Amino acid sequence: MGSFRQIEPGRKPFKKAYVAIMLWFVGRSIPIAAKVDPGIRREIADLPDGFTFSLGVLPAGPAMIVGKDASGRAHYLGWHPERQKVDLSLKIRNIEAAIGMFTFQESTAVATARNRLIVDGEVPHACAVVRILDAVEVYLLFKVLARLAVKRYPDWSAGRILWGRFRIYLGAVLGF
Amino acid sequence: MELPGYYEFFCRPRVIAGHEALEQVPAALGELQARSAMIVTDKGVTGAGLTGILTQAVGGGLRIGAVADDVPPDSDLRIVHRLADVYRREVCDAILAVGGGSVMDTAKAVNILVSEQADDLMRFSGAGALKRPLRPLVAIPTTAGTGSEATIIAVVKDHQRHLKMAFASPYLMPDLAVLDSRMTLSLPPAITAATGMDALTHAVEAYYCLAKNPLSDGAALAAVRLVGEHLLRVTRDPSDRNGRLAMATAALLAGAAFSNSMVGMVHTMGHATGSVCGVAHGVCMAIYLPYGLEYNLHKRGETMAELLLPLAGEEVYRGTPPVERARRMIAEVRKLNADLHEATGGRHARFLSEVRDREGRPMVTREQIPEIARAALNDGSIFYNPEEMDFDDLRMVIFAAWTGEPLDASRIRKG
Amino acid sequence: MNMPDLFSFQSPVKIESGRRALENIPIELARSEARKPLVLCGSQRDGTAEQFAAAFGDSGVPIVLYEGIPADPDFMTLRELWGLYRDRGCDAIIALGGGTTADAAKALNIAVSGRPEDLEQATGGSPAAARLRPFFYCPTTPGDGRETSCFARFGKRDFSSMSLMPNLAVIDPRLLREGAPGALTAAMVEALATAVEARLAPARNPLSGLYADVVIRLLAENAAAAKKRAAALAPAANALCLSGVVLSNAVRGPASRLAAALSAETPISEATALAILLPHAAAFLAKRHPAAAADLLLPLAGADAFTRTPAGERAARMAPQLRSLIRNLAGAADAPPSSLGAAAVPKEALPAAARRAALDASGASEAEGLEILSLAWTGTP
Repeated sequence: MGSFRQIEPGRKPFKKAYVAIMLWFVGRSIPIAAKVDPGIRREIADLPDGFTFSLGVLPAGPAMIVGKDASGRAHYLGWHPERQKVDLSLKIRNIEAAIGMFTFQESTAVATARNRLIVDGEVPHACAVVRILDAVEVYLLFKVLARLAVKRYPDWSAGRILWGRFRIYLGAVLGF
Repeated sequence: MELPGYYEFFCRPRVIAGHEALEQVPAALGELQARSAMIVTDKGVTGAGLTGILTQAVGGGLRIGAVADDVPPDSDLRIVHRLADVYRREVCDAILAVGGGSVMDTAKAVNILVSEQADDLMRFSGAGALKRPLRPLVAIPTTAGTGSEATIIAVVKDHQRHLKMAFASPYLMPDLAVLDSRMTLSLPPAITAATGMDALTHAVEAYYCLAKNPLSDGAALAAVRLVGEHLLRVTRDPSDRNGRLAMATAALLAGAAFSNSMVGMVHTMGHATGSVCGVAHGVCMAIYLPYGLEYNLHKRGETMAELLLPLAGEEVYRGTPPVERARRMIAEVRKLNADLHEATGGRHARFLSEVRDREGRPMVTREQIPEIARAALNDGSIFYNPEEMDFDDLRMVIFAAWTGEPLDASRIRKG
Repeated sequence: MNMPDLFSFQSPVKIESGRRALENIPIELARSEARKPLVLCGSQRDGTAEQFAAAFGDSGVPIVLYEGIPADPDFMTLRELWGLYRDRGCDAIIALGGGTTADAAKALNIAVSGRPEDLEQATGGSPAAARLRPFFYCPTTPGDGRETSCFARFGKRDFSSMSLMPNLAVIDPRLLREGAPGALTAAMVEALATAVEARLAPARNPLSGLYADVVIRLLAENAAAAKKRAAALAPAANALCLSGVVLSNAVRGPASRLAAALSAETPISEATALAILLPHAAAFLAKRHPAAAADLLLPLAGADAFTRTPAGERAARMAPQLRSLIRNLAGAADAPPSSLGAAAVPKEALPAAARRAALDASGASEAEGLEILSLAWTGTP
């Protein structure tokens, strides 16, 4: 005779908090990066007006949403994707996979190859969003970490990267 | 054998293969409790007499409720809806898809509608929308080939709204894939060559792209070996039954490989060239494959070297020092293209500027290259490519593929 | 490559293997519309049950964990499990462990798709064609290569159906354990035997061949080459899961039949008998199918060694290569005796074993089986 017990799924509050902070930062960085970097600005410009995309973790968050208004500017729209229409959602399959990505054990490319992400929306838009995220990561992370996150570190000048990094960190925290 | 940090592999269909494999279909469907099938195919297949061979082979063992042979070369939403109606009206409980990629896509989409008893296909688009097994689906490929009998993908075009709907789910995979040498015996040499190179490209890209794993590797190696041993011979001698079966098996194995480990830049550029210039998929694959290998050589050279033995055989492998094997592999692919060019009387193009339509006009102009590069940026397969590619990289490679010159290694920006 | 006139192959098991594989289970359950799995574990308290449960954190999916599947479960255990499954509203079954746990899960799956009496009254063979519930398998301690296969053994009866195979095998390194002494070696030899015999069988085909090759290469290139025993666990677990698929598509060959027969007639364990017999049976099959034997040298020895061996010598080199691989897999601790004689198998028992094995039509007649056993008894390579 064996023994049995029912186990309710536990919680992972610290991991969720860490990922939530990372997502908040990335979400707030994108609109600033679009002002600072011509490549990111172009990618955003090519997206349709009113386009929104989200990056989040299954089954129930955390998440971040970014949208493009009618005048073409990008805005951080918070962390509740269920409260609005989202044209493209990138969902990380579970909190452990998100930790893997946000601690740079798995780059975006490797995470995609390992099926950690579920993409809901049109593929061309997904391609653009991944390029935007890659570029933002180059600004946000020191080269040592950024090289783990992206496939090919771009050959931008040190000045461009440093100024952009300063401006984006400032803007992400202060909101402009 | 590399055991990656993480991998997934799934190839669900039961495979029955042989010179008289079609005769096994009624019993196999019987095990799935299906007795009344709808045949989905196109006019080319029926015109070649293949639908007749199928109906004769299944004989009295299976009721054929309907035969729909008007699937167009590009899967079309309207046809999907019409065929679903036919299926319901004739009270069918299985689909036999006989044909190439478009027929398979159409059949998979029809199967969604009739199994979910739905009218709106859009509801099921994307990944993970299907939660239950679908009704029995038998895939009988007539090219060797796209490998779509082993993939989880279906793509359907909505011509009215100018949309491409993509569906991805393990439940889309056929229950049964039947490889019968009679189905490809009448393939003309140029199509044999192009579809064979399509299979080779699937296998090679699956072998060196980012999601490679032991099973996709095993399938890819087996596929490359079969192509290396049989493609040229079958192109020269279309009636070689064993060769036809071998190529059909190669295509299925290559399909299983890439369906699980994805493809890279060769497909990125190929899809874009197909959509901008209308060039057939297999033709694009054959032309771009050596360039995909060259571009990724600095990142995946050792892996590519492992493909030399299955593709070119022992003598070439033994005669090539280890450090030169990857480059020799690329040379062998170019040589295969050249041999196929000769074997098809010049119909198999070796580079983009050589591609001609039926009237003999060039299909890809130099001026179209930037547009192809732009379209390629929107293709998801680029993410599985080992090296990064932006607009300039794409333009450089596509131009080289247009002229037929090898890539200038000094111009590849390495990440 | 051998192209038979007609062949058939099926692998309905999805594989998810590697880091963070366990955390995928909730989504895979959702994909099959399951919400509450019954998880069966053996009685070893080695932390695997806790690790498994932790992987469900933040998933929203509750699990019912049953610990203590005995080594030889009976119908009473099955009834208890069936009751638990029904009372708790479970809708999927996960086996966490090795061979016995997988067998119990398969039997339970038959029972919950009907009633336990159906299983008790069945005389074995194929269960009714009713669709079974989603069934996942997560290896922990090494099994015997039948966990992912279409076979199940329960209550002294043997069942066989493709529908018994798990829908998903989740191989997560965090759960893998060495198990009892000798268990890992036995498991690897078992997987190797399945693959080698499938490659040399008359019914070999490109699909079974490729799965068999992957099993052989994982063992030869990864497990045997592992500097520490623990590093062999992951390749071995992958090889075992795949060998179950090969087994379900193949007919058992002479080595495994003779090993089973011998262990029924004498005190030798099936695993030890197999380790000794496999190279001899392979050499016998090599004479019958020299081309297949030559081909088999490629996954066993690697491309360079293969191409350096003259083509005419490859078939003969295959069995010695196999013997040395078995020794490498066993390591110093589990090295098999050099012959059946050295393993204290009485010579008089050989004819009865050959007779027993031949009853199953293994592709080797009784006389041939006796010849293999005799060579294995003296240890003549």
